[in-house]
Amino acid sequence: MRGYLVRRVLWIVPVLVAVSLITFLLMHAVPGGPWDREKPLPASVVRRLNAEYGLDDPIHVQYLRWAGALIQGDLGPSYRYRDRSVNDIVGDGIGTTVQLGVMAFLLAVLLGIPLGMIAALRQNKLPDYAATLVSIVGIATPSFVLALLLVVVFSVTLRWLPTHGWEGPASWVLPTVALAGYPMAQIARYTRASMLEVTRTDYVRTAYSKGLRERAVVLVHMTRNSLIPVVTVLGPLLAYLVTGSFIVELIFSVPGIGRFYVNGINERDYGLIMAMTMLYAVVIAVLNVVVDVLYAYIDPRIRYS
Amino acid sequence: MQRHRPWIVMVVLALIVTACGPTAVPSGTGTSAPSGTASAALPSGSASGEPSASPSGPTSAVCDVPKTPPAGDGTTAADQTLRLPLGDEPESLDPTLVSSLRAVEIMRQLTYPLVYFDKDLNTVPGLAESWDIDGTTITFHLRDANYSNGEPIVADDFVFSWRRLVDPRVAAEYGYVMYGLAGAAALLDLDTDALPPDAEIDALLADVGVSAPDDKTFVVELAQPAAYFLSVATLWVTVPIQEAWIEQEGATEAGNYVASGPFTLETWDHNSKIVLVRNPEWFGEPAKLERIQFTLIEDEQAALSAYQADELDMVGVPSADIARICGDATLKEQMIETATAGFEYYGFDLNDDQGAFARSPHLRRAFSMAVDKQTLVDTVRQGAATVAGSAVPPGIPGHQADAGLAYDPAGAKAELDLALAELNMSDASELDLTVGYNTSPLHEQTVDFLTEQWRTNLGVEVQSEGLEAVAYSERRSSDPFDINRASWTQDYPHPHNFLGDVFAGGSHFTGYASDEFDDLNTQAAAESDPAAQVALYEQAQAVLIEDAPVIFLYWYGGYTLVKPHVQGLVPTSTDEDPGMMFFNLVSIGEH
Repeated sequence: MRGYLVRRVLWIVPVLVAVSLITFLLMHAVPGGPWDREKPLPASVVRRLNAEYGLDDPIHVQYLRWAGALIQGDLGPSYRYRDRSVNDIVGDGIGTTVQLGVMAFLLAVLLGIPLGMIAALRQNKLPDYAATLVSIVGIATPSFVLALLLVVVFSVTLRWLPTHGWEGPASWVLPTVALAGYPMAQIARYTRASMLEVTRTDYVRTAYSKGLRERAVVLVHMTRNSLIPVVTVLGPLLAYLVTGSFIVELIFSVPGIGRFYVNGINERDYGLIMAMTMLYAVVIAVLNVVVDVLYAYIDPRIRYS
Repeated sequence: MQRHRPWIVMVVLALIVTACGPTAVPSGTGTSAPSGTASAALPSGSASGEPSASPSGPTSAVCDVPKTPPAGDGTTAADQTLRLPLGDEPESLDPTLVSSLRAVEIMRQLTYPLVYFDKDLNTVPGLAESWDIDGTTITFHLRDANYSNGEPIVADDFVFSWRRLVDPRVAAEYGYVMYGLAGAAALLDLDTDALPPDAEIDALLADVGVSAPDDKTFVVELAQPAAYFLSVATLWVTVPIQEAWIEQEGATEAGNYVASGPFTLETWDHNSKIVLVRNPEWFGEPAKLERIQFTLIEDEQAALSAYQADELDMVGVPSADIARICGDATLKEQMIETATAGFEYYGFDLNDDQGAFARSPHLRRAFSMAVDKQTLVDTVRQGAATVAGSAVPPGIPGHQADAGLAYDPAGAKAELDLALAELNMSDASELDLTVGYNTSPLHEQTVDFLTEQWRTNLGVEVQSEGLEAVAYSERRSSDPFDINRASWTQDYPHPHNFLGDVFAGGSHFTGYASDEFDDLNTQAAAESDPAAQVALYEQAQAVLIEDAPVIFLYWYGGYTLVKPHVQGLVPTSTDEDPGMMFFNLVSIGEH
C-alpha cells in the first residue's frame, strides 16, 4: 500500500509538467496577446510592456522562467492587475471558493445519497418517481438557470436573502444551493443505479433470507458496497466544486477565483491562466489518489500492492 | 442565457490550436466584455446576453425618458451611502496605471486634477486656481489644498506624477497623452528592446518640460503650441502624486491611500467591494455623501436583480431589458437616458493601395450612404444610442448633429456606379468583400443588419467573419478585414480626442492618411481662441466626412435606473455611471 501510494504521488509530477507545457503552448498559440485592446495601445507602449514582462523572449525561455518561479512558489505577475501578483489574486479568492465548494459538496452528498437510496429501495414506486424527477430536473437545469430562479424567488420577490455578495451565512445560501443542484442530482442517479445493482446480489438475498430486517440489510450490507461507484465520481466532483464555478460566482458576485478561468483567458493574462490550470490539475490529481486509497477502505476486496 | 458562451468559445479556442483565425462562433460578451479597457467594454459591449433586441413589432422601441432624474423630496436619510455596481475589478487604483472606464470612475472620486469641468464640461479651475498660457508655456498657479493625510499638495507632486507617466520603466498605458509635452516623446519612443541604463533615463526625465519654481507654481513646457493640452490636465493620469506615498508597498490599498479628491479609500475587498468615504481634507465643499459603496457585480442581470431588491441605488439597463423596463410604469419613472462620449464605427481597410476601398472613395461613400442608421439604432440598439454622421459626440465642443453622409439609397447606388467605373468593374458582383467584428450578440445583429442593407440597397454581397475579442483586435491591427467593426470612447472631452487622436497621422488601423486633415488638426490644436479652434475642428471633420475612411454608426447612449431617493445627480456626456463627475453633490433622501 505504501509503495503504491508513493508511486502514485510521484506520477503526479510528470502529469503536471505535461499539463503546464501543453497549456503554456496553447495559450501562446491563441491569437492576440495581453495588450491587444479594442482601443489600441500605441506601439511604443506595447513594446515597453512586452520588454517589462519578458514577453519578447523566446517561448522556451518564458516557460522556464515561469516554471523556475513556480518552484519557488511565485505564480508571476498579472498583466491585467498590474500592481498585484497572481499570488495575491489567487490567495485572496481561494478561501471563499473552497468554502463555497465544500458547502455545496456536503449539501450535494447529504441530499443526493439518501435521495438515490430511497429511489432504489422503492423502485418504480412513488418515492422513486419523485426522486427521479428531482434528479432529472437537477441534471437538466444549468446552474445559471437555477441561480437566476433562486434570485428572482428568494431575493427579488420574497426578499429573504441577498441577491449577491459573500457577507455572512444569509448570503451563502443561494450560491451553495445553486452550485449543489447538479452534483446532488448526479450523486442521486449514481447511488440509485448502484444500489439497484447491489440489491440483486447474492449476499443481499442471503441477508434477507436470514431474516434480517430491511434497515439492517441496507445499512450494514448494501450502503457500503453501493458507494464504491459513487466515491469514484465524488473525487472529480469535489475537485470541480472547490476550484470554483465561473457561473455561480459570477451571478452571485462571490469573490472567489472561479471568474479567473474565463477572465484570465479573455484578458490573455498568461500568469493567471497558468495558475488556474495548475491549481485545477493539482487538485484533480491529488483527489484521484485519495479516491483510490478510499476504495481500499470501503471495499476490503480491493488491495494495492 | 449566453453568459457562459465566451467561456465555451475560449475553451474551444484554447483546445484547438487556433492557428485558424476565422471562427464565426457566436458568443455573448457578457459583461466581462470584449476588453475591460478604456474603450469598448462599456457602451458597445453592453451586449447583455440574449439577442432579444430583435426588431419587435411595429411599436417604436425608443423609450422616452428624461436625461436627469427627478429632484427628489429634499429629505436627508441618516445613512448617506450611495450604492453602485462595479462591472469589473479595477486593474489598479494607482492614478498613473488606471485605464479602464470603471476604474476611472473611482479615480474621479479619489483624485483631483489641475483643471476640472463644470456641469457643461467647460474647463474650470481644479487644483490650479488659475493658469497662464504663453505660447508653449503653461503656468499653473496652485490653490491651497491638502491630501487626505493632511499634507499639502505641492507643485513637486505634479512634476513627479507627470514624469512618472512617461517613464519607460513604469510603462503606463496612458503615457501617450503626454506626447505634446517637451521632452516626453524622446522617452515614449525609446527602443525598449534595449532600454538605456537608469542614469540615461533619469537624464531624459530631467529634460521633460515640467518644473516647480515654488510650491505653488507648476510650469509646463510644450513641444509646440497646443491649446488642447489644458484638457490633458483634466485627466486622472495627471493628478498630483506624493512620491513617498506611491513608492511604499501596498500604497493603493485601503488604509494607505492618499487621496486628493472629494473621497478617500476606506475599504478595498478585492473582487468584492470598494468603499469610499468622504475626504474631510478636500479643499472644496465637503461631499454630501458619507460613503460610496461599489459592489463588484459583473453580471448585468444580477445587478438588475440587486437593484430591484433595493440593494443598489443605480444600475445600467441591459439592452435586452430596455423594452420590458420601459413598459413597467414604476420602473420607467426611475429610468433616465444617458450618454457616453464615444462612437461606434466601421472602418475601411485603406492600408493596401490595391484594395477596392483604398482605390475608390466613391465606394466608401456608397457603403456609408446605404445604411439606414436610424432603423439600426431603433431596433438593434433599442434606442439606446444617437445616429452619428461624424466623430465629435453630443455635448462635446465641435459637435455637429447633422453633418455626415445621410441615408440615401438612390445616392448610394449612384456612388456605387461611379465606384465601379473607377475600379474598372462591370458589375457589383465582382466585389469580394468581408466585414470583420468581435463576436457579441449586439455586433452580430449589427453586422447582419449592415450586410442586409448593402445587399438590398447596393446589390453587393459582403461576407462576415466574427472573432473572439482579443483575437479580433490583434487581427484588425495586423491584417485588417475590408471593413472592420470598431469603437472609440473619450479620454478627455475635447474634439481633439475624437478627431486627431483617432484619425490623424495614418496611425489607426484603417491606414487613413490625409495631409489636409492632419494640418487642420495641428492648426486647431495650436489655436487658443475657442471659437476659432472649434471652427478648425469642424473643417477637419468635414474632410473626414468627405474622405469617408469609416462609416460612423452612432454615438453611445443607454438607460440607467436611479432610485428616487438619489438626489442632486448631475449627468454629463462623459460619464460611465451618470453623475460620476459630481458625486460629491449627491445626497440620499429618506426611503
